[in-house]
Amino acid sequence: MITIRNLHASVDGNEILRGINLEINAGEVHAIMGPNGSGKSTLSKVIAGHPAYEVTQGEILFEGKDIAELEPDERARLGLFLAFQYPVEIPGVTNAMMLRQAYNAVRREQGLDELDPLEFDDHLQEKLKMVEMDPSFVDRDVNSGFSGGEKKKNEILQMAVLDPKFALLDETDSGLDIDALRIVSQGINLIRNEKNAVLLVTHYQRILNYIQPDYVHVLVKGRIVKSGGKELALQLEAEGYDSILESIEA
Amino acid sequence: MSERPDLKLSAVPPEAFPVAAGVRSAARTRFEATAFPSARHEEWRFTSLRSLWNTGFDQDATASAAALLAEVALPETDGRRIVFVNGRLDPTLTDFALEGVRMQPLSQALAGPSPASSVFDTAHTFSGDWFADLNTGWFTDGVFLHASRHAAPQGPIGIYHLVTAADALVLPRVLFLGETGSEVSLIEFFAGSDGIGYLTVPFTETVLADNARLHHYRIQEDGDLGAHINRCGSLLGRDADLQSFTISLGGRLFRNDFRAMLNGEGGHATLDGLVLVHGNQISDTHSVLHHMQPNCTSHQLHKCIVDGVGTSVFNGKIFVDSIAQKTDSFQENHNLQLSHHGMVYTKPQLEIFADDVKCSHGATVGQLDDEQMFYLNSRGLSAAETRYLLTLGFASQIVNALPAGSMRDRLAGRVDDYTRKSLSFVPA
Repeated sequence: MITIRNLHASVDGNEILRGINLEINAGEVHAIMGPNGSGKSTLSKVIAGHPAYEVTQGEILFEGKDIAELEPDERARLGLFLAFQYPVEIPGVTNAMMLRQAYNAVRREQGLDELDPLEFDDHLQEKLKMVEMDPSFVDRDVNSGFSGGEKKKNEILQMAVLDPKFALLDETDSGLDIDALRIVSQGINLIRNEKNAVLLVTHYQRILNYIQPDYVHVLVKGRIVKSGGKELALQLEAEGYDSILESIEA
Repeated sequence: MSERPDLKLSAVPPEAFPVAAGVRSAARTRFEATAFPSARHEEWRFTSLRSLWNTGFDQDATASAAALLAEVALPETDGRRIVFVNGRLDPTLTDFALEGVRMQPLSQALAGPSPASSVFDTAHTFSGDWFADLNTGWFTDGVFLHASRHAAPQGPIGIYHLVTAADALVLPRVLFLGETGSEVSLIEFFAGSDGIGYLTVPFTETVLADNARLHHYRIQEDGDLGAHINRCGSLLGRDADLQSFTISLGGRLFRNDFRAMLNGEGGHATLDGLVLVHGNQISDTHSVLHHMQPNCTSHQLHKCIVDGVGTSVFNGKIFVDSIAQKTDSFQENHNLQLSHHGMVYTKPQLEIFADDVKCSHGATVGQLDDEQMFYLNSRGLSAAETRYLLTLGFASQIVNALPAGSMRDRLAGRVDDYTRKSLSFVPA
């Protein structure tokens, strides 16, 4: 699905990613964990194509195609989705309007007919149930005045509607109470299947109680320093990042 | 060459409105003694009136406005419609009957002592202002609307100010009095024919007694060569509530001067505005929220989009008198620049003389937000679609808050047209 080779990236001339290698296949869930400042969020943004980040070396292959030079919207229409750590508020643009435009943009890309507002609403209502959201949610302005939990749920709703091939979840669990975490995790579990892949970027092991990853990677100072199965997350939770940092430096 | 417009004024004597004769004579005297405003006046620093110099405007110019009315009439004001044509109340196009609200021509209402005469010329602080005195001294007729105690009529009243005569000088006058506990919606719709020059100087006063509420919507769709310089004053009693919204779409030159005086405890005023500028339009909003008594609140959200070589000016004053403790006032002005040559001037101006108040303001000028752009791009929307959606959203935040109906639909359509045209956006 996605292959990252020797990826280096910088922002404002500071190198943040220093040679990432990662291979994620369809049907897999990977988790990237790491201490603050390790480059976790940068990796998400670079894969999604944030214009402030510059790829200086390496490649990002999505279904065999290098997407490192594509615009963020081109990547999205190929089937890539980023759930934001801090979803952006957009007053004046309703959720329904944004989602329909986004959904139809993907449909156009795939050569399918666009859905009119009524048809789209049916599609939307079904997804709303999946993430246990009130139908009034879609008529509100995008993330505007939403609580932290609502914003994260809204990311999951968008993911459910757009049905991406590859979903990047950037600290979607941070700031969630236990109920919101359950709903968000349920949403992710309902969406995952053998045809798509998920990369969870997280600081805490907590969300991995709800979503079983196939692989866990530890990111430190812009490099993946350790990879393993889900037991690695438990080890991190028990021992903290320090033990891993020490074992690497030793 | 004179640095002012050449006005041909109607031969209506001040005495045509007997109880207002003194007020009118005084306004005429002040007007004759006042210089035409220029950039040397602080209130006119950024808005040039040069386009009015040496231009003739005739207060007696007339032309039919039936076609223009058909174009702009909002169905929800049917049966509650008051029409001014080239500054004169038009009895044939006016169609008004509303329980709880009495409508009278000012010539009748100001014929002798009356509710109108007790409040006329009290709801503003514009005396000495060239344009205000021009209107007060020379308006040929106007309308008085009187909402009785606890009246709460269904549906909005529509006052249509239509200009169809070339080179017209138009001086409409509106006086609204809402008695205790009344709640009224009033739409003032300013429209003019394209292709003709004119100068309109409307003056509206609204007086809200204790616990009265007024929803005041003002739509400016003047003709492309029209100049519109208005004065609007509002005087609020105890626990009164003014909800005002102004949208500026048309005209060549628009100056909106709105002053609200919170003169009773517990009063509230909202002064929201949306300005869409294109071509070489100038749209200028000056507002005053004057807190004269304790425990009043006010809120102002004023948004402008500037395209082409247009100019947008905003000066938002908040005055808090020393007696007005516990004032809570918040002002926001956000400006979106779509072109490199458009000009935006913004000047929040807070003058606070009480020590226990909450007053704040925020002003921004800029292009679309990069993080919002990235967010929508990351959902698959192209750069063009994203710009369209964000620009539309910027303006829609205000339009969406209007009550549902043909007014909101019309304005939403105008905002959408403006956005598509400004961005040359053609949906896929």
